[in-house]
Amino acid sequence: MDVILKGKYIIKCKIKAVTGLHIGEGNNSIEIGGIDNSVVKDAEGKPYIPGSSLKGKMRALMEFAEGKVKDNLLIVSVKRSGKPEICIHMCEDIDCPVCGLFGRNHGKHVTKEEFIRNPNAEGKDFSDAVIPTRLIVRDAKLIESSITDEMKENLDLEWTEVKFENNIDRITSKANPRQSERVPAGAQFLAEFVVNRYEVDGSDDGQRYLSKFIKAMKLLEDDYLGGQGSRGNGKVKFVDIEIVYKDSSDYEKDSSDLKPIAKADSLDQLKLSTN
Amino acid sequence: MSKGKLYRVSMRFTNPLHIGEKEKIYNITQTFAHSDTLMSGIINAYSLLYGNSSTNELLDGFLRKSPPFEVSSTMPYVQGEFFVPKPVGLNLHHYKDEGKIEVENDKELKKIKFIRENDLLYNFPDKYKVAGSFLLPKDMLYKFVESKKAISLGKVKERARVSIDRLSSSSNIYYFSHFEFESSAGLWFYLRINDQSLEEKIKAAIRLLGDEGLGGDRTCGLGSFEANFEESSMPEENDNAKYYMSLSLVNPKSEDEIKSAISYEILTRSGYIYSKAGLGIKRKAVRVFSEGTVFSGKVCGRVVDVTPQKFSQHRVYCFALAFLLPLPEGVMMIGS
Repeated sequence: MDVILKGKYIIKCKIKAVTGLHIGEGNNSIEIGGIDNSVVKDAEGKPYIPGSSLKGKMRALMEFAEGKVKDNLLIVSVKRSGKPEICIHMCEDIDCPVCGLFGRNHGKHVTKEEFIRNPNAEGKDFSDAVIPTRLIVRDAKLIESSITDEMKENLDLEWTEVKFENNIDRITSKANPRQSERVPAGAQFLAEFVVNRYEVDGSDDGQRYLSKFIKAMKLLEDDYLGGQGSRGNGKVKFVDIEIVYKDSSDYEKDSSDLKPIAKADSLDQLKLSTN
Repeated sequence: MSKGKLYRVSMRFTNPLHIGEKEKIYNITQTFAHSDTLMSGIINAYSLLYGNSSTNELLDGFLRKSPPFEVSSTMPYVQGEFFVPKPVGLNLHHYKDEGKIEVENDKELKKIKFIRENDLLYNFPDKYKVAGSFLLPKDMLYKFVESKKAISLGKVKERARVSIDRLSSSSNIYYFSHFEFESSAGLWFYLRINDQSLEEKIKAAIRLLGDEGLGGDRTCGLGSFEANFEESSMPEENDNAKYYMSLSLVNPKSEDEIKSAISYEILTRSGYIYSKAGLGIKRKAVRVFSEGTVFSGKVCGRVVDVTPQKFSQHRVYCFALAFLLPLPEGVMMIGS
């Protein structure tokens, strides 16, 4: 197989937290006096959105939107005590928009359907369809100025707020409170996505995967990011979007001055020129 | 050894970096990329840009023993100062006794891992102090160290990664480590271009590698960097240099080369193949001399074929040519 890079679509935008955002750190240990449910922070102690969270969420949403969540199209990624614990979509269809954009894993995979029939099934190797992943999602860094001094006055921690949540026993009314840290609504993050445009054995991707990716962005706006989304957290909006095309020949120049091919304040105003 | 155009390439990381230590272990990360990792990244980027056939042509050069370009391993830079690894077997106690290095206790000497390149090349002309794993000129200490005692390159952080079942939403959590560089710190390496006609293409591949990312978990944004090329020169080669230090991994090509290693460390390099044709297949392991190994003469090293038996799409190589730095006259080695 011959894969050649034609160019890269670089999508730069801001992610705005419309409601509080909680992307958990998954701490195993709790510090004394600390919060039980903290959010991810970088080495400087500022919250950020990990690229993996964005990518994973977008992938999951795309799988539903493209009709890929079916037993015969899901593969078992983690099995626990003989049961298919975690199933995600992955396939060997070269034109699959989900796998083409978000990538395939190497090695042998067993579909859920097959697993239910025979838990010891060998599985199938998708290697013939594996090419380098088209989408790269960078970590989104906090724009410090988006958390204003006024907001800081009302925050419990330097960059984040602490929200109390509660379970109440239905009969005795006994409360079981817990704390959860979240990035306050209004915070903005600087995000960057790259969609590679390949020529695979002579056939050019064109803008196919770019438009699929924009669909994934739209899906994410109407869903949520991070935890506790069904209870109000994690609504995000992409703003100040700018898409640049970097041709592979631009890499041979010392510096390149790239003009955006599309620019918009929000996703619904975004129009791609057909070129 | 060929004389080509020499560049000092600094990599300013725009995102954290994950360099795997061992297969299937994600919660450990290395801070530096060895020369074979770096070379593999460049060759893969080259292949993405120019296709399979021109990549094969490029590789032919390496196999015919006239490498079109060479790289060293990556090394740290902090605030514009470039560091190289401490030569294995450098007699720091001698320099201490001479009064060139001031330490409170001898243990500090043991911790030194990096030396400014120029200090090493001119055999420590100044007075020095130890700051963590770095040896620094005394009058420069204020530039790096404020209240802390050690220079910090950055921090290792662990990120929680989770996979979620599409239907039941049950989750499986695992941890992935990465290294976050401070804004004034990063990695650099030497690039020597022997075939001038390929200069622009090689630079293009390195710029692309910066956008694609080096190391693991690239599609989730890790490892991307901005490359900056700066022309550089090595000190005049004098043929009576007694010692040469390697800035890259070296796999000796002959018995003589093995014997010429005076002070050395040995590493095992293994891992998976990354290419368009094959992923997730383990390559053969190979043992190499690490960076900082001191040789008594010029060595060449070799490119090792590590193609596993079951893999037939293409050959897989581990780059282990020597990138040498001549040590100055009068440098004190242990036992000399």
